[in-house]
Amino acid sequence: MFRNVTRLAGVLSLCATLAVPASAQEQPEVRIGTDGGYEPWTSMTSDGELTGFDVELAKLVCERMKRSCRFTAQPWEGQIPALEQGKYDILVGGISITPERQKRLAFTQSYANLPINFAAAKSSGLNGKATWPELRAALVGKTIGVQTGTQSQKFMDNELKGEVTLRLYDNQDSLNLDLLAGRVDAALAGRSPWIALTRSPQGEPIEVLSPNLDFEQFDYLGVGVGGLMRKDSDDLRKAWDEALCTLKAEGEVKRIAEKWFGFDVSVKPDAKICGA
Amino acid sequence: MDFDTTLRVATELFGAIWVTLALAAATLPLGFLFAALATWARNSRYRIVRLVAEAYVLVFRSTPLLVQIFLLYYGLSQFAWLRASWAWIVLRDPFSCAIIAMSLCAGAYTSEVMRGGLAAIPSGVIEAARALGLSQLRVFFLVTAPIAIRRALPAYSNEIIVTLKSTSLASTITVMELTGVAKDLMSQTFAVIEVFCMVAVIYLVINMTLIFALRRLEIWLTPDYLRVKSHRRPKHAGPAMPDGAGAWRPSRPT
Repeated sequence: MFRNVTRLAGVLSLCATLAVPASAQEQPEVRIGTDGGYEPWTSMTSDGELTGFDVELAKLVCERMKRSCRFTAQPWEGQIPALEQGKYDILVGGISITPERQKRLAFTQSYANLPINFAAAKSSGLNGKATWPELRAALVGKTIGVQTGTQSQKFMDNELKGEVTLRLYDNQDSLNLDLLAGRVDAALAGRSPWIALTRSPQGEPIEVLSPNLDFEQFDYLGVGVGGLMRKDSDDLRKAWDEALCTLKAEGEVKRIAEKWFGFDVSVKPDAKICGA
Repeated sequence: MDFDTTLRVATELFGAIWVTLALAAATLPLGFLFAALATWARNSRYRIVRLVAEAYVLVFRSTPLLVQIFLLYYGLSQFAWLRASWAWIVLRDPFSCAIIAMSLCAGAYTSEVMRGGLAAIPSGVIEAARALGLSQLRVFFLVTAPIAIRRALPAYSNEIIVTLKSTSLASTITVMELTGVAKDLMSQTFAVIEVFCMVAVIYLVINMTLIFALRRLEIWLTPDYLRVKSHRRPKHAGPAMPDGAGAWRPSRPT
């Protein structure tokens, strides 16, 4: 009798161990696209491994969802078409939640938000302005660089259109190079890439200009950063949001944010999604 | 894409055509100049001059134009002494950087076209001209150049079209030509297919016009006795042409 019971238990436990991978196999791999060149959100180690705030957070989310994830690096420019064609299930990497993007695509809840800032050479004399109108007056007539398709470009279109010479860059690295070379007088981007630049040895002559420009003054700057997916991937979005709710509540998002940004950029759990 | 967006996209794209055309219009003469210099140097009697010219053509033909543009634009700006020099006046500007890089590349390819054109001249023709007592300069302008231009024009027209299309690379260094504006519009509207189809049509129309004009120029430059006779049926059935130009057509019993 006893032997039979252990045998049964053995068979059952064998079934259980077989069942876990079987059910995991039913759910296909989550294909995650990220830029890999937008520090500290998404970047590459010298070994070619993807890393950064968004990559680390996405790995945690995958862990919580109990699904295997595959990361692919692709420049931001081509990511949205690739997502729409179904080459990815979700895009991460400092992607701002905007009404235009929401028209065609869906976002997870916001998990980080930080202001955008101008940066310029320390010798430019542009720093130390207390308010945006003061800084704006100093910028008129200058050459300003921004990355194509970012909130910064939208900001320039809304606030300084026609009053400055605008240069558009494919990526933040090229913009940094031209800011260092003095081809642009100032550049506008999220606060995070400037922190990465000014901390690096070659970024020494550059400083971040005050004031911070955020969504409280300029509502079109949006509610922050989220994972971008197609409208038809509701299941994944729900699972992702659920995992984000727990990670936020546990303070994990804050921990990773402080690791990558040096300060807390995390956003509180979305009451509509996570409940009160 | 709704009507308003289409209209805005079209307006912005048409505005960018001029930048594309200006890039090509500045690149082609400059490239031709570099090519003429290189061709001249490649035929020099001094070995060192020949070697320098050969090296220039080899290097610029063997590396991608995008790499050349990046090296010139982002590469050179790394040197502080260069940024302090007078050269920075030119290199600071993305538009002039694009023109310099593209002209150097076009010059290398055009130099090969010129080499081909010159190689196609039968040596007997030159000897005959010399025997008539023409000076070297007159031989070049009256005999060598006309034949070489005629031979090289089909290949050079290809180079013109390639140059016009390669202006799209200038957008990588912030010159807002057609492709640059299209990328910007794509990120604003997400209408990838629509925007890039419009861009493709614009390039197509520009290049078709160019191809047509160059074809006319080719025909105009060809002396009458060398012209390929038209494929149309002759109006009056007559005997086969003496040079055999119509001989491919099977004769029909009448």
